[in-house]
Amino acid sequence: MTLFALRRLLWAVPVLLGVSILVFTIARVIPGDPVLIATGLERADPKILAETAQRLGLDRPLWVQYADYLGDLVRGDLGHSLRHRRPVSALILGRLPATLELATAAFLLAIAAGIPLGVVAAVRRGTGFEHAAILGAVGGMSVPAFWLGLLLILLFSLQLGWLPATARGGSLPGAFAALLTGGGLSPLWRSLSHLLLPALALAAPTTGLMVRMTRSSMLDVLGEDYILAARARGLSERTIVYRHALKNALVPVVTIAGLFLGRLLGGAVVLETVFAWPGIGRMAVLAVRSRDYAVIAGTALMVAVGFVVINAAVDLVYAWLDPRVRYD
Amino acid sequence: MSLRRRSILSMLLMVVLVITALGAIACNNEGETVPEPETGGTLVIGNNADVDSLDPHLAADLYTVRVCDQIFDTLIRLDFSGDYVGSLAESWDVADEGRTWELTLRQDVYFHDGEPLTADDVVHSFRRIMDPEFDSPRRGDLAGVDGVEGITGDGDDPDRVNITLVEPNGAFLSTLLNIHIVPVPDADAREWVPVGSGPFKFGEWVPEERVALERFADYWGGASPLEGLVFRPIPEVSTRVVELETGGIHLMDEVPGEDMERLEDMEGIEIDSTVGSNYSVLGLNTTREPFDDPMVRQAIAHAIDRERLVEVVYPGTAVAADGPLPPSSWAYDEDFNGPAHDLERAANYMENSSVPDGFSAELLISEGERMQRGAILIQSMLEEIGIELEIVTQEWGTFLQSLMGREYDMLRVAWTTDPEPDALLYSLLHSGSEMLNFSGFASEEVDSLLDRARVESDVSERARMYREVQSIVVAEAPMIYLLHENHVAAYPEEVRDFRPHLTGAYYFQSSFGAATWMAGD
Repeated sequence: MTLFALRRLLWAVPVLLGVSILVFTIARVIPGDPVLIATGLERADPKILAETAQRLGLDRPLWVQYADYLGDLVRGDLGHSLRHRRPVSALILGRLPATLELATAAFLLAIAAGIPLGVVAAVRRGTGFEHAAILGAVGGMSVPAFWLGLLLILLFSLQLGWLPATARGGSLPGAFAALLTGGGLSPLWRSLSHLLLPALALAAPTTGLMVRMTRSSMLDVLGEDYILAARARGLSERTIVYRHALKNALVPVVTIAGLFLGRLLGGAVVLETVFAWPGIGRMAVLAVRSRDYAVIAGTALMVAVGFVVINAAVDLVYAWLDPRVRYD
Repeated sequence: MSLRRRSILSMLLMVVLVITALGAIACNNEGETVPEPETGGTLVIGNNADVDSLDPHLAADLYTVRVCDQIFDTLIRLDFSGDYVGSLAESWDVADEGRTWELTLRQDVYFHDGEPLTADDVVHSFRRIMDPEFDSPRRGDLAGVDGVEGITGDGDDPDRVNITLVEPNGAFLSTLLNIHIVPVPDADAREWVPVGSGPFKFGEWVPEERVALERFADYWGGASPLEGLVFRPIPEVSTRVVELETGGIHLMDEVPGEDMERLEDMEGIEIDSTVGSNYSVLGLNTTREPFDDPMVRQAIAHAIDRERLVEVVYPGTAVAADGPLPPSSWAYDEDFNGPAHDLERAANYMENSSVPDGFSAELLISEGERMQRGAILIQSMLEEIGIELEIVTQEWGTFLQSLMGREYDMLRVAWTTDPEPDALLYSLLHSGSEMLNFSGFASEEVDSLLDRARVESDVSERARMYREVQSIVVAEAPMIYLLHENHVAAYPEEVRDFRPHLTGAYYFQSSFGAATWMAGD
């Protein structure tokens, strides 16, 4: 198992190298001059533009620029933002906690709602509950998250006035820490009240998929011979479903769920704009617009690292859930 | 806007003024007075984006400059009607036929750290921007500056600053609008800190969340009644509107047309707008067929119904343009009319052109819902005279590249300018302008007028020349001037004495106009 884990992590190196080449090239191949965009069309001066490009090394061949970038990367330097004039690593570290908090909250919501609903839908096959669950799931998957986000804002902030529309109400771990050190409930409530709407909007598509995945996987497992055998032994339906069927049914769900945590990080990009959430997503969008190469590459690499780590973790959980899986 | 419409408007305005005046008298008779500004309150502003930096010399976009404007002062400013007024410079003189500008500084200005502002700080600020190593996006603004020299005043004499230009430039004052003055740093200072002389001092910056500023009690123009300002970046416009309605912010601008009516009807929300110093054009690539034919360009100019474009896509948030000089410019000519919407004339031009049977072309636009809707409307207008347009949308960075490389047939683009006509007229229309003459327009007459207007220091003479340029350009139609967008601001009624500025900047202090304040419950 340890050897497997190590090998799994080693595999990440070529993947990340590939990602860095791709992101680096794509960012630079798309038309658009970062210096011109930063200066603004109205005050563009050809001489100054050329000089600046030269000083930033943007006039050198692409592979030379990449070699430079990779050299810095190996030393842990993600480069310098043209727009913010600050190290990219500092920019990302400042914003990553907010994005992680939002993605994790959405993930937990999706699991907490998706898996139980899927199980119940499978167990109560053919009932109105199943139909309603499937309908809700398809709805959640089909609705674009940013649109759902706007609807939630209109309903809960504008109409009902229950929850704030935008911004982060302080860090959630910080609020928990405050609660434990006697700071009272109000920081926690403030943090949660700001988090709830964006997390709901972000969680909706994933929840829908979880419901469907869990339900169909559960149905498959419930039709297996060993379940029939368990029934023949006279075990209670409860024991059959929760002790025997659920663990096996969850194997494919966990695989997908892991991938979805990665996808949630990406989905947060759009919702961060709608909810003015101070994460890396908004910075990434602006970086693409202003061709801030180092920030584009840095954020993409961060998300890629997230994906790789999550995938590795999923593989390990997979092995734990299903001991038949062999890793040679 | 037609002459008739304008006179009706002015009559209406008169009526409103008279009624307001009568109302005011009535109020006074009843013993009510205009409310005195109250001190206190923090004004929360919904900004479209977070600031890139709080260093004004690194600021390029409006949303960053808007925040820097509160912390730092410039030497001169534009007042609400678009006239130059002194800020840190009390007065200015031009000598050497427009080659040397001498500015006299105010003597009562202090930075937030208590140090007085001197000529050295002004010289330092200029040199900092001009330093290639520092790489300021504003460096191009000062490309025409040869040298800056500070003269320290003796005793009661104020400090002065002499700026020598490479060549005479009658438009130089407009450059000074963008140059914020920062103090000479302490020799042992490790990190740059945002200390300026503006009405508000820096409090805190939480990236992507807020920039908080506090009132500067010793501001030379009088301390603001507001205790502080908070700029909150909220990129999505519909969320910004909800935040305004639910009290999360007290001020937003760029109110979308579709929300205007609802906000106007809402109790307790005020909407205020001013014609912006900008213009939106339909550019024609005169280096490509058939746009090299003036007949074709004229046909297009007369086929476009600018009033309708405003009505459909920009209801209440723009005015139709007559030419390149917006109403906020000192060179604006209210008697000048743009090409009339006249399909018959347009069809005539087409018949006599090189393509009497019509043609098809691409219309290039950048992203944005209003750009898209405007393009569709233009497409249907030109269809009437046999021009078939295919709309091509490009992301902004790519769009800029196509524009500068003249890789397009027709395009729609908007420019922001200040009331000084030189900046944009010269770079967009002079045949010697390397980068920005995107329509490929070349006219010896226009070149000569622009060259002469640039070095002329007499304002009325300059205005005359720019108006002449306007007539030629509208007749030649290398681009068709469509509209000027308004700056539309919305705020709850407890915000008092706020006025939108024609450049989109925010001014809350009282150094000109009334100071913004907030009324309590």
